[in-house]
Amino acid sequence: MRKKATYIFRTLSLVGLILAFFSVFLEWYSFQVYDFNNHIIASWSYYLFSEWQTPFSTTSAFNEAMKPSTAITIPLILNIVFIAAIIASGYVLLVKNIDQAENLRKYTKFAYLNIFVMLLVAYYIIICPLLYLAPSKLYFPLLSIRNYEEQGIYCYSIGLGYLVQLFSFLLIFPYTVFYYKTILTFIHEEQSHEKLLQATIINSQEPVHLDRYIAEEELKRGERTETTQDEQEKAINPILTTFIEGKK
Amino acid sequence: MNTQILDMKLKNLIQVCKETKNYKKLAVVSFILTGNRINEIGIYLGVRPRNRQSGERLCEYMEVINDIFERNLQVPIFQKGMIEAVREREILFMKNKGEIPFDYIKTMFSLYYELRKLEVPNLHKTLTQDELEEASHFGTFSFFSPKTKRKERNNTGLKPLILQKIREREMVLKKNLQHQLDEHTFETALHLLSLKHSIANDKKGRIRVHGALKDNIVYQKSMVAIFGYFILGVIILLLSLGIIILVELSLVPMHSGDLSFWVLIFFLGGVFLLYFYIKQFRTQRG
Repeated sequence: MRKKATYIFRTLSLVGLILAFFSVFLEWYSFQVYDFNNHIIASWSYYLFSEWQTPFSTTSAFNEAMKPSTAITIPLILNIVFIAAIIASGYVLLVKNIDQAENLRKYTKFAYLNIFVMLLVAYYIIICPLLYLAPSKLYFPLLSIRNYEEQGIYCYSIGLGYLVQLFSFLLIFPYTVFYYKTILTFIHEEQSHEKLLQATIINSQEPVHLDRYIAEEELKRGERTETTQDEQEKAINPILTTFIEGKK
Repeated sequence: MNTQILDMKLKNLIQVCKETKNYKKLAVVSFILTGNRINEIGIYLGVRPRNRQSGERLCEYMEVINDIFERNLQVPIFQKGMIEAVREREILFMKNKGEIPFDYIKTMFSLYYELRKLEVPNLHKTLTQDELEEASHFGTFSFFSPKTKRKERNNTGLKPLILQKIREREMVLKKNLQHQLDEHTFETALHLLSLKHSIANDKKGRIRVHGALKDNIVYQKSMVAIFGYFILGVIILLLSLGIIILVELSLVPMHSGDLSFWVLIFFLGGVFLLYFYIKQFRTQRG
């Protein structure tokens, strides 16, 4: 069951990436106006690549007037980076299976790549509505307003692209976190083991202060005084005691 | 300390001590350095550090290391001549409180450099699959690969043949080691030994090979956490959507009646799942 779990979530993550890829080309947000007879009189849809699109011809003055004034300015380069990252992450999921990992350090960059994709999806579904929709009075997630002055029903709604991104986030999130956390945990374990070993070695070593010994001897030599045997004994005795008795 | 820097400093110390004729200091340094190196070798090989507080001598500690490895692999780490040389100098050093002949100091330093040349594996390091495959040169070992099918692995008919092959290989390695101690051969010999025990002791004929992460028991246990991460993802999503609508409400309060329904749905769902997550996953970990 445990082994199957990672397999299932890995597959789901892959499905999530495919959904995220297609979401970029789907309608992300829509704004429509109906008259009281339920006939559509204005329609605008936002696409991440082609921005505001309408099925009406440009001659429809009312439709043109209804075009949301504030543009959603999601940078185009971000969309391109998003697609590239999705493809790279998909490759990682297919080829760099963490189950087969022997040297986890090599997998760290793949974990960061997966996290990057996940954060980009989060940017589209959380940050973009906050940055672009709310200030432009483009209501989120769904709202229908009857406007009696203009004799119309205003419908605001998130598009299929946004919904697909929501699902893709849900599918990507578990395996991405698992992938990253596994690497973090096992590398940390490896490091702490190595650190412990080094600490054991350092703690069990006798300190040898070569610089101090050299300085002491150079001082003696520099003074050009004849050192007696007693004075030499006096200088060396603390080091000797440390060595013999094992004191630090 | 970097060995190059240490060598440079040591050279300076020897030079200056020769000028001041303070050979006692050199004797002490030679013993400290040799002791530290032997200690390091012991720790790398998985032996306890030398117990200086209880007065364990260098030569005694060397014998402890040798004893352990002779019993397991019939391979001594330190040559007997080396231990004897250390013993002789150590006894004199202790007896005369550091006053030993200059020739003895020279020998201690040469012993120290001999020990530095000794390449011992770090047995605390986990062997990777590549190292294992490299260690096992003969074809039969491809049989141990964790990638092979379970059906093949459980085939016990080949067990005596494998054991025989291992013994043959072990003999060759032992001969090589007795001639010269080399880190790679030593590591291989140790691994063969553990492999031999693994095959001989496992009644089901299974061979435990540590390599890929999927074989790690800690990793296998951690797989359950992935369900928790899924729930965590849903919680993050629900609460984030709730927050977005709250921000929206603060900017356009006139539609609060319609939008508050969504806030309620998202926050209630989020809080309920958070409670479930804490109950099921966080408390289990604690």
